[in-house]
Amino acid sequence: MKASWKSFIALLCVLIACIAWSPAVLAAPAVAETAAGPVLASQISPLASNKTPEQIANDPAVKAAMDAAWADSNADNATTRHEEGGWIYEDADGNISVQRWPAGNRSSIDPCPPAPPQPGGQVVGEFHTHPNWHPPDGKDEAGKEWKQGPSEADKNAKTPGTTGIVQDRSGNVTLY
Amino acid sequence: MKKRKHNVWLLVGAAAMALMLTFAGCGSTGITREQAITIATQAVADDGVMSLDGRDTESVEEATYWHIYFPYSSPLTRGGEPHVWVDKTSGNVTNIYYTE
Repeated sequence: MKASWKSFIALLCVLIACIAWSPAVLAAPAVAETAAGPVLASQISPLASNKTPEQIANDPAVKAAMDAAWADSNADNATTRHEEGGWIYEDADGNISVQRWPAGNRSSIDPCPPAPPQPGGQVVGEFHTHPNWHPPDGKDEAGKEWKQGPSEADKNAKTPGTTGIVQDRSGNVTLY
Repeated sequence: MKKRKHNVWLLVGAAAMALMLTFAGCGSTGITREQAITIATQAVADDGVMSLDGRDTESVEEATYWHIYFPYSSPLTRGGEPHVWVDKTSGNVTNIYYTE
């Protein structure tokens, strides 16, 4: 009888703890930190785009932004080359726009928090440059060997359901 | 007579155990995971291509090598990492490459 009471009290404590814990967790927004500040997960949840990854990559706004990002990457300069990139947005009418990220470093880049979503618009993709890999064997001027991306970190960091694009110095554009 | 047989089996058992331990010793690695990580960390520092600040350390044991790599700790960073292969017997770095 005593054991039953103990069990009952233990179960009651667990139940109270669960009830107290769940609202606090459910109410807390998912927040991730970047160098530029916190990014709310709700800000980067993908819009259900009707466009294919290829259509997004070939959109004139994206191509122009990628060309500019590549030029800004200084890929031909061994001391100043660095990664550049940006978010790709799609509005309710299917129009694509781009918000560039702050410049990265030689082999990585941290995105800025996305701009507040436009009505009906959301992030549908991201792009960045890979200025280190040299054709044909991947070795740079110093003989250091680089592998073509996207890296595992690139794949893991991308919001699921969005399109990732990397451009390397051989002119390859890889979707992931 | 029985006691002698018993002793013989004891000797056979001891010899078998010694053989097993010998062969098990041959199969073990000369370089431990911790040693391989130390070697890889130094190799990356000597290379001077990437800083290891803000990175985790991962290791995979392969047949003859330790594969050590250093992914970013931040799940939001898009970026590359050094990959280092350390020979399990000699401790030599046999390959380093970088992703971006």
